[in-house]
Amino acid sequence: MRPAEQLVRTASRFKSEVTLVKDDIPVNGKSILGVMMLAAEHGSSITVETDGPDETDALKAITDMFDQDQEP
Amino acid sequence: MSEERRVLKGIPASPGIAIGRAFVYNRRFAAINQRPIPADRVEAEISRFRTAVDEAMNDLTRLQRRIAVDFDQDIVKIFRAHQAVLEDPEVVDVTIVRIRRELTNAEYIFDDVMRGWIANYSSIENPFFRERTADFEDVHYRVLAKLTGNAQTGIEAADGEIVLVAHSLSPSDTAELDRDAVCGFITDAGGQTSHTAIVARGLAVPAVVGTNIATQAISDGMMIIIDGNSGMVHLDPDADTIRRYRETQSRLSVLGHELQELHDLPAETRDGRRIELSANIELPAELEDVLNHGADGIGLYRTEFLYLVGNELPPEEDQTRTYQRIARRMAPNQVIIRTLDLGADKMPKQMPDEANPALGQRGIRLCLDRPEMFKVQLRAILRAGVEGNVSLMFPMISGLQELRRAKALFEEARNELLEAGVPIDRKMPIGIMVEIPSAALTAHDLAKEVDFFSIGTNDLIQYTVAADRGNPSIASLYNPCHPAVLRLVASVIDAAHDNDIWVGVCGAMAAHPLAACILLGLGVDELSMSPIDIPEIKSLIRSADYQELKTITREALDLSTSEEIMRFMKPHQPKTELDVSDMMRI
Repeated sequence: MRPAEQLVRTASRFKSEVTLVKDDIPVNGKSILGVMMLAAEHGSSITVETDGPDETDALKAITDMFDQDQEP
Repeated sequence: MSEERRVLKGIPASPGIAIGRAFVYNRRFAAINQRPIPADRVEAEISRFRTAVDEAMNDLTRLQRRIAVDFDQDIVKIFRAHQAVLEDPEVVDVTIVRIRRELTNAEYIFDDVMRGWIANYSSIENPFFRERTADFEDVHYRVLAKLTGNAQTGIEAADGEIVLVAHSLSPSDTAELDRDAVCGFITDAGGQTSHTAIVARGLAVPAVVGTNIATQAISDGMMIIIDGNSGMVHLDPDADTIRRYRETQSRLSVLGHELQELHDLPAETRDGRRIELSANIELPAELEDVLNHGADGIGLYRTEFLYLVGNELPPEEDQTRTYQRIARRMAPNQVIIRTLDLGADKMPKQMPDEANPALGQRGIRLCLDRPEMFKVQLRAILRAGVEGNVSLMFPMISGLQELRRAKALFEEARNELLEAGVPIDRKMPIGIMVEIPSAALTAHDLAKEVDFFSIGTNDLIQYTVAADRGNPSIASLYNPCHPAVLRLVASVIDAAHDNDIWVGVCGAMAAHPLAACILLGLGVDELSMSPIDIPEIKSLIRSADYQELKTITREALDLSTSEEIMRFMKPHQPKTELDVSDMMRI
């Protein structure tokens, strides 16, 4: 699975809003179109914000996914 | 109405006769009007939008299911990507929120939302992501068609014996269409060796391309006759014309059955020269066609389709599986896999624009520039070799240095797999396409470092006479019998034989009866063509006398114009019992 799809799928499992911010531009983490826009230029850092009833779990699931992705 | 207005003349691209009703495939939309929606009807408007999205989702699921059966999984991925857009909250939820807030009709808002995304993506620098806009436009179109009540949501909506009329067809359009329903193609654009023509021939569907005005002259539901042998398209023909064509159609079908009887006979001349007769394919789905038409193997497997349908480069495992399937199905017969020949008319969307793509970074040039991508394909081919009789062929080689660089990467890929302990074919033959005049003129040097040549006449002709093969206004310059072309081909064949390697021809020239006689006389060892052409050329070879053709052809090479050559050769073209060109004179 491509990383963008994987991220959207993970984010969509949670009730909380998931926002990804890169270069001051926020996108909806549950939107494949939005996430792909960010993915278009890799290499810089992304801030993940979650807001809602399951915000802690959501944040953990997404950051775990990024960590896994970094493994060789 | 005058008689002339009822007939269009185009370029015959795939033989046979098709009679059916027109389906004009047109993605252009009338302007979407903005309409206010009264507050008490806004929920109804939203549910109208939801229904449209659901229907579009269902269409896509249905398409995937059908395609999964008879096509590659790679095509299915396109439609999955389209569905992902229809599940995106920034598309669907945002449209709904705005309909409610702005009290405006669904098609206007949805159109605006999609245009916004398409504009965002159009400005991305990375060409792969920028070109996702094509996917979004597909989805955009599909939902708008539902909302505006335009029943025409794509080719798959066509029903019955349909003649498909389009400005041009992209590879994914042709992959998407229902081959049981579509009996013929007509396009405004394209030439004899354009992508549409190649696919039509591969699918054995009659086609006429390069008509310039078909989409304007033909309306939906109009009765159409396509004569794929002459390039004539009859619009709304009278009963008498239909009857005459139906008769010819049934005679052709009888003829087809007779040609079929040649299936198990070898392509051998009367005096015992055996020619390897193989097939050109680009889809694994064509394998059955290849076997049904009695081919000796696959002389050219074009791998571009793998890349074009997915709009991205498939991983090594996927490629290996596809190549393995073909090798296994054809074993013990030979399968020649040509490495990626992207560029020119087959330009995929993620490649950079070039002012002059035919002379640009295409074929092996692109692959040498992206060695990691190239090695993925080389590894997949090497791995597939274990499953059958696979050879590898490099396209667009212009000289020895380029060949050596390609072979060095091949060695790297080979060593990587050997070190990893992956089973591969250690003795895989390597050949090149000879399709650039500079390669033809240095064939003696190239022949010493490869196992075979395959002369790609489509490009060799266009580069020799400097005429774009897809341009109808200079189509007459593009002539396989030009003495320069024939002399080049002869010198390549001699160079191969002097160095004890075999040489084939895999361009459209191989399937042209008169040109095939000349190639035979020049001593070619293999001819590769669309499966559909194999029985006719086999019948021609079986009626020919090699020694006679050899003598005659050498004389023909001394003539100075293509007209003289054709006039000189024509009486020596063997009469076969099954002469299609005679049958087609009606």
